[in-house]
Amino acid sequence: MTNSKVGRRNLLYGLFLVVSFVTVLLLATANRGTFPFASDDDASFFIPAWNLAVFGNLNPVALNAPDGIYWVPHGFYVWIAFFLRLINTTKGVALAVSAATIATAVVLLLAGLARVAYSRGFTIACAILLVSPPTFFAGNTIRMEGLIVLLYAAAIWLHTCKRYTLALSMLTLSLLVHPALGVSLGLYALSLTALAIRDDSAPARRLTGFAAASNVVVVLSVVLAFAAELVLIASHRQIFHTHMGYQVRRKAAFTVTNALFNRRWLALIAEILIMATLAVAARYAGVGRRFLTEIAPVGLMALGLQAYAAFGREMAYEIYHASIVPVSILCVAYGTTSLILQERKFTVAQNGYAPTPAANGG
Amino acid sequence: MTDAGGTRLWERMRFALLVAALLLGVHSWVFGRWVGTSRIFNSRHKVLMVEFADFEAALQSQVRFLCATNSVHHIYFDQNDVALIGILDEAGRNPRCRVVRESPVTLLPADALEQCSAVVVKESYWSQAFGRVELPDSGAASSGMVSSVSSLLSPISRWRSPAGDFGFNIYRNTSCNPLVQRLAP
Repeated sequence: MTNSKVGRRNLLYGLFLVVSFVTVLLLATANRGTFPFASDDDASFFIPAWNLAVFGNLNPVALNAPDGIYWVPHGFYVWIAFFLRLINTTKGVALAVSAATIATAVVLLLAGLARVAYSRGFTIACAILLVSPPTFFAGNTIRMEGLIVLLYAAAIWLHTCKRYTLALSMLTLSLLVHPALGVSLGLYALSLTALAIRDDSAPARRLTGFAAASNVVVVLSVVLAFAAELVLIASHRQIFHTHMGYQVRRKAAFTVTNALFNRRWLALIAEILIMATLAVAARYAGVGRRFLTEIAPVGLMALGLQAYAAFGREMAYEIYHASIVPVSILCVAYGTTSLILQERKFTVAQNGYAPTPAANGG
Repeated sequence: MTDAGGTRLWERMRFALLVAALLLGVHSWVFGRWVGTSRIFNSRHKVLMVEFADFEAALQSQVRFLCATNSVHHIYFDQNDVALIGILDEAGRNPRCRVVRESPVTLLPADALEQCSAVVVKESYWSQAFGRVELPDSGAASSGMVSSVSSLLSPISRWRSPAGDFGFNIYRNTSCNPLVQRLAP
């Protein structure tokens, strides 16, 4: 393909991403207040952020929490407070930030998943699933789902750029916002560890210069943020236990019957089966190593998010179950078939026969 | 299976994934239109937005008035409140009185609500999770935070939006002296 054609394609895809961003922003804004209706949940997250922006502390008296509130980590409050302080300390700003966050997350996810699927065209088709009502819903609430999707998208993008440490940092950072990506973090870390043990040349890469420096800065920032949160919790241990006790009791209302008849658990089971099938197919086709290094970690992140959505059962997690995870799994599946096709065509052209696991060491 | 047959199978698989993506997208738009009780592109969007703005403005003016009476120092909101964050930027900075909303983990103590320097606000609105959140028509606030002190509280002010989609009642301990001025309608 000539340089001008590549340039034109890049430009068109860039334009598509801009259109996606604007569409999410406009459609979310057009439905603000009625999709969803004004939510009683918004106050729980807006008031601590407002308090931080206006009074500079995390003890929101207006939420009857003069000693702080510890039922979720403080990352989201800091994120919203930053923009409230920067722009204006009103509810409108917080809602606008929510919508902009989810719109940015959608763009980053589309860019990252295009690399996972090895196809921009397929990702454009998937956009109908991402630029959809569950996304606008999340953009119209003052909740952390938008920020979680942004960190998830950043982790995928960084993984596709082979910046594994940064991807891991993004997932780790997400724990300071909400535990939704906790399972994803565990699975991603496990997949990287397994790959490092299996083959010490992949996926680790020796970084130099700016890349190495950025790794150090990001990892140190995440460690410092965690340390700050832990100090805050340690100094309010009693309140933390009381507030977290409420969350544990709420989430513990889980039964096997619930799981069997819950569409989110059924979707999780289906997605696990799809991933397993893809792994077998990739291995059989002789692209096992590339699948494990480039594609499987993204699929595992998606499965982790779906597991949390199924376990959490909250209406707000609908964006994970209905948009983010299905798009990710579809792109993982498309990427795997692309890899297999590429390998088959290459091997047939070279040797005149299709690849097998034995022939490729996969 | 021949090499050509195998390649064709994977090409078909890619096409099937493309169709699946489009179908899931359509599914998401058709079945994702409703989340809880709210629906995207609500035909009453404009009306509801105007009513909600009136709702916040009415509550803001009541809070201003209550704080100006010098006999109210605490304005309490229950966990179902949706309007406070719209007026917090002004009400939260008022040095004369304090607005306080409870959360599921920071419940308000019942005795605080019975104080003569306190009033309790309860709201009615459309909720995504529960549909219509209604107020008691008359008498004491009988649900949520104030249930334990319901016999002591009675409404001192009511407001309803023109179409009746939003509204609030303000309650105060019955045994307290009436506020100096009549509350604004």
